[in-house]
Amino acid sequence: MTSDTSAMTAGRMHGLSSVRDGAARATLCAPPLARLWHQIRHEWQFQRWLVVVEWLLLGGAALASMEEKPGTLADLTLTPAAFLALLIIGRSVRADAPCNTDVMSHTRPVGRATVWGAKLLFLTFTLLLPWVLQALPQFRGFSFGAVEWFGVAMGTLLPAALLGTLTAALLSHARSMREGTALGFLALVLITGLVVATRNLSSQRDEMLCGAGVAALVLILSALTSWWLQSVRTSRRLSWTCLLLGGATACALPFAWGWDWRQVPRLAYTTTPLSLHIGSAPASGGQVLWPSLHLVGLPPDHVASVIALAPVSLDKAPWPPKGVISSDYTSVNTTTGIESQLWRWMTENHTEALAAHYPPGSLWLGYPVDDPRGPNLAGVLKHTLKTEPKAAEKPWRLRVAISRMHRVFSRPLGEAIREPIRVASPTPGYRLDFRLGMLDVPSYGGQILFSGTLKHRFPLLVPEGRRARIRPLGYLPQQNFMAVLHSPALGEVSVGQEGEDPTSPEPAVFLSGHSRRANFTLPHPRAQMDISGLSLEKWVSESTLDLWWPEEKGTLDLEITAEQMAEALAAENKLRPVSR
Amino acid sequence: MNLVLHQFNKEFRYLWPRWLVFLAALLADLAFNMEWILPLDPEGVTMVADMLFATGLWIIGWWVALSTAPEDEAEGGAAFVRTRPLPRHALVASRGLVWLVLIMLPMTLETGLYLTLQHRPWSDVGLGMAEELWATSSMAFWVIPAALLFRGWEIYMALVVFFAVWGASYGRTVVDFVFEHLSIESSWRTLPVLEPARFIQAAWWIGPAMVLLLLWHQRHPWHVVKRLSAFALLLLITYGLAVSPLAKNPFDEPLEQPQIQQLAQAHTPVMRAESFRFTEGVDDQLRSLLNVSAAVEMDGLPRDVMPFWTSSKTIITQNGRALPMLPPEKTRTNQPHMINLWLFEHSLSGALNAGGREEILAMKPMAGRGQFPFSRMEIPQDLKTPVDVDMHLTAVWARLRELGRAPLQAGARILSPEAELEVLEVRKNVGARGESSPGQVTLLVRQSMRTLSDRHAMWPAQPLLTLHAPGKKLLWQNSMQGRNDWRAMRLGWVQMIMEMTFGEVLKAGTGVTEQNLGSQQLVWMKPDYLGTSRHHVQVKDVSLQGNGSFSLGGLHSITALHQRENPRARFLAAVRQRRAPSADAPIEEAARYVASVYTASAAYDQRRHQDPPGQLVWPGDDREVADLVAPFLLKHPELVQRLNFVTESALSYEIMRSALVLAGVPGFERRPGQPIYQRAVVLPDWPGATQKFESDLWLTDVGNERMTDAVVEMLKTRSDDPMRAVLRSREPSLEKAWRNFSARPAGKALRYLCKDPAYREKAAAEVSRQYGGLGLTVRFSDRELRIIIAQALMGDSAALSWGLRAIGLSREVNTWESSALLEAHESLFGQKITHRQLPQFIRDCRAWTPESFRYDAEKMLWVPQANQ
Repeated sequence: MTSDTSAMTAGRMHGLSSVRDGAARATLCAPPLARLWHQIRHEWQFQRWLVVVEWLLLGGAALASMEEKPGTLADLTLTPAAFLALLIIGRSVRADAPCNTDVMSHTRPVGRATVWGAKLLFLTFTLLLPWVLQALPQFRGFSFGAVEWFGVAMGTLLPAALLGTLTAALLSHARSMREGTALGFLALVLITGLVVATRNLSSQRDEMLCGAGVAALVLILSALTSWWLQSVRTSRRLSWTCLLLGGATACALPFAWGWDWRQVPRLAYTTTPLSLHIGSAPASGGQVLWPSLHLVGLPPDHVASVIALAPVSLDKAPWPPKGVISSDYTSVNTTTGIESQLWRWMTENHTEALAAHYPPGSLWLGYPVDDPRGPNLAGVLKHTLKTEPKAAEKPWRLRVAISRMHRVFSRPLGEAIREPIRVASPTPGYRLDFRLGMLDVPSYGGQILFSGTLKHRFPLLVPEGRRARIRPLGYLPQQNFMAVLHSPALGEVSVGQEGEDPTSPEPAVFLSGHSRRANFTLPHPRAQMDISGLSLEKWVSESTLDLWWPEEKGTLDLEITAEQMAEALAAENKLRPVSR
Repeated sequence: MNLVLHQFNKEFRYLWPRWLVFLAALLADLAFNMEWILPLDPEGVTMVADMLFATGLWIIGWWVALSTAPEDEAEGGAAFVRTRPLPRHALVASRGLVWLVLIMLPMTLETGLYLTLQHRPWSDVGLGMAEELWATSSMAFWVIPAALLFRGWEIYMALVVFFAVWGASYGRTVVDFVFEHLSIESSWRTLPVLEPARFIQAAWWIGPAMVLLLLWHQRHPWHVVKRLSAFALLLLITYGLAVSPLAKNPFDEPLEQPQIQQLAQAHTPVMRAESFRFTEGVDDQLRSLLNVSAAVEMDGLPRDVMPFWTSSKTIITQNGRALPMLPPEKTRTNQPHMINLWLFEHSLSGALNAGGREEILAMKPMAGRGQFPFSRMEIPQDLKTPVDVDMHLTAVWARLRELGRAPLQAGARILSPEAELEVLEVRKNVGARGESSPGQVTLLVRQSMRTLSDRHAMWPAQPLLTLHAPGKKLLWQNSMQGRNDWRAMRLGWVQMIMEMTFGEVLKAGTGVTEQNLGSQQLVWMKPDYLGTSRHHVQVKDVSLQGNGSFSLGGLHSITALHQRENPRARFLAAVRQRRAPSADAPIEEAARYVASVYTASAAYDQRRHQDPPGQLVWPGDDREVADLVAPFLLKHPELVQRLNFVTESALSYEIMRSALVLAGVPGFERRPGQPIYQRAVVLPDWPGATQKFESDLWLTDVGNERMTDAVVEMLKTRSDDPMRAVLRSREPSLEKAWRNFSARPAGKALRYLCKDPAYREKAAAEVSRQYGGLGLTVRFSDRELRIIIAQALMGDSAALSWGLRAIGLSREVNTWESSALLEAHESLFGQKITHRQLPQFIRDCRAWTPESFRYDAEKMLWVPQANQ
């Protein structure tokens, strides 16, 4: 504690008055922890009202973030909380900064290192930790494990610590209020620049993300060291050098970083052996991909979605080729050739997979939905021939993504309409919040409307799971779910219809987030109501609402010879309706 | 005065380095606005850069004006000033001089220089400078007290507060939050850069409060936190006032308010009950509601003026009880800046039609039905009882003024005193995002507009660029605006560059090809706000259903499973799979079974799918299903009255026929095709003579209720007497036909009515009235096409021309469109055609003109000239 000793000497040299001298001697002789505690209490006395206001604002922000639509209220509380935090840091740093000529920090009898350490602790416990704590409630219900929670804490802590230490380091160099103001401005400009630069990190490469995380850590450490050098060692030049070196390193790190700890192995499907059956439906059962092409061997509740069906070139051309028309996840404009991601990739196959969970012979009802799989096999071949004239003579490959349907919610309808409900998806990072919107929407023969919001939150500093998520044709699939209403008394099972809504991004620095409206409707049993006089109340009391959510289980490639493809095309031709 | 100048000199000696920074910023702003740096680029910096430069300039100006010499800072400057022989008013006056000479004059000169360099007339240069002087002087009340309120580092805090509240969006967020909770209407478009006049007004109003704050502070000194908070509060109040209805833009003043008042008094608005539509929607909170829209008619208006309607208050009563209404949409107000939105929904071709009314028609993506969204209401429990509507209407009147025309070529220019346009590039078959898109034409245009407040070219309504094809006399409006960039919004002459895309230009039927694209015309039109009038309208007996409103009673769900397999066979299998009740089951059990059949029918709706139109994909009928259900109707005939005739009428008639056959009612037999009643009855009064009855069961004119009553009676009595009674009662009624016709005009009904001279006159007037209310477009619903065809059947060759052009531009032949086109052919020419002949009919319509036909007044038909 060289600096403490020099501070004591400085105290003696300045010749304290006898009373103050006594108090100072008492303080100087106190154990280090007591001095630390004394300084922390001193900070509290100095800033308590501002800290209380800060906590109130953070509490408001935490409450607002738990609301269904946080929006304006969260903005109104968090923005002033951030500025107030910077003001508290500025006041704390400036109050005892050795180079601040307006204060007598050199005469403080507690020692510079103690003062610095106490400030660090005070700011950590009064600002940084409350800041992290206020951000946590909004991440409840996303099926996060310990790793994800660690990522959330780090994702909230790193930006806040970065802004705080940068402000502290800069303001510790201010020799007057004028310089303090100028450096405060510089801190604001740097902070704004950092926020703008890191706002869209989620769209960057994983290596860059990891590099940005390390860069933030480096910058925090260099800012802390710079602040320490300036406050304890009073070495202005060294302090600036440290800060600038740290800044330069941090700027370069995201681009130079090579270790991607977020990378996890690809998820390949290995649960059961799968094969293709060509012709009409096999007796042993199987999933219909196209009327003459079936997938055999899937376990119960497992469903295959087509990623691509395309010929395989003998040269080393990338597969699948661009503009594949057969994918469940994309649609291709046949005129312009423009490919776009489909938000709804679940098909009738997913509904069929659920049938085993409901009484046999139930009448399944739903809403008309566009089949994302595109044209029949002949249509696929016709489209492919435009770019690959010898497609019919080549072997083909089918890539499928397998998902398993999970019942994530099941409750009597009467209960489900009573209170807001929160459902976590099997994939960590997604949550559906829904509540009754309207029991009796009169259109389309009567419907029940649930108003929902599908939210996504995930820390960007940790891997997205033990296995990488499937990215069919390069797109991350939208989260789909299925609402199913079972009315045993009527022998009916209704599948809900979900309206398409755009996703609103809610970016943060080390956290990815977005949400979209996920309202869904379920049809009233109109015919029973009109003909047999069934009442709405009776129907509600006799029905059960289930929510099913697919969980990714991996991808699989299946090879198809040219002869098998020809056979499938011929079989499809036989199975078509007469009039077509 | 000498003391003032002396103090100013002292201030200047301290401020000049900062003033040089301000001058540099001003020069950079001029260079940016003149495009000497960062020229306009649609892929470039967009409007944000313009806002940043304007905000930055103001912040630097404030910084200079708030800065004071260090010796004036101690004790808030009081210590030094008190010791000097300088009266306080001289100190304040010198601060005023700092603002006037160092900030106001340079900014005014920049405006003058910019307008001169842009070759604007001297009158505009003078006005622009005067407006800049007015804008900067509004800040004098703020900066002079602020310079004495905040000293040293405090001025930077004040600048941060000023930037946060006005420059960044925080002030706007707070104001919106407060206004929303106090239910105060605010102008969502208002931003300092877009509507500076509102902020200048508000700054003048609240500025004196800054003086009061300074006076208070001098008597009872406040801590800096209090002063900054008070300053922020005053800025927020100013922002709130600026976006509130209290602040006005000079350019929002009407041009011809007295004339509009006279016009409104001379014409009475009429709203017809049948024009009301109640469509379902949701609000911001996801609550379901009904949107109420209707058409307002005002006959005899001059051709060039257009009223746009909103409702300031709507009362809807049902059985004398007022139904709960909801607040209108925030984006729907009765302010003149809504004119552009209204024009988006209405055809602009009327402004160009110098010859006949239907001369030029708009290629609008939506049919122009003249409907205005008026109110929103909670969905009432009772949707069957009609309602009475009481509306306080506001009409905003506008006139379209042509700014100029130019050929559709790169380099073409339109010059007018208030706006200029230059086509930089014409991209064929390219969409709004630069993608290849057949038929679309994307233009890159440069526009410059006068933004001085006396005659603002951008507000309240922006000029509209339309594309006119003189050959086929078509007009494309509502171009899709792509990337854009702009400059100098605050300097009185805004410059912008933008991409505009017109869809479906290069397509069959329009007459526009890649080769003749250059001979098409661009027409630039400016909507002028003429005035506002207020009216009161009451409408009785308005139906909440029908006329395009949502309908009840339909079964719209379809199965989620097995769509790829034969749905007809699946339907039969599903019905067979249901556990049928025993023959003597009580009516409740039988009803549940019948209902489950109807549910399954809706579920397997795909069995009725037609492709091409008129041809079933899955041939067959539902006779076997009907036979399964019929015994239960025979046992409980009352069930007939519960069957669904909205979306399942085909199945219902099939079931009724099966039940009647099963009951052995004479006249009904099991035979292929539609259910038919066929019977020859011996006339008791005429021995040996018989009367033949032949009819299908689809007696739409009789009504489902009477028909089902008759079927119930037949099933009970096993006699066909009730059927014959129904048939005998089917005497054609002109009055009934007239009622149906006015709600849904059709050619066949028109011919029937015209056989009676009295009804002929009424029908002609009704057709003419509805025809006159049509938007001048070629995109129609089937109802609107029927109105045009009906007008053509009255012998109107212009209507025939309109109909032929609309049919010739039909996009794809789908089931809904095709039935309207088939009906149109039969109505116009008295001949039925099949679905297969439709494509040829559409192609023929592109070549035909009214001269290709002669009108047969007796038959009310158009006959091809070749047949003469």
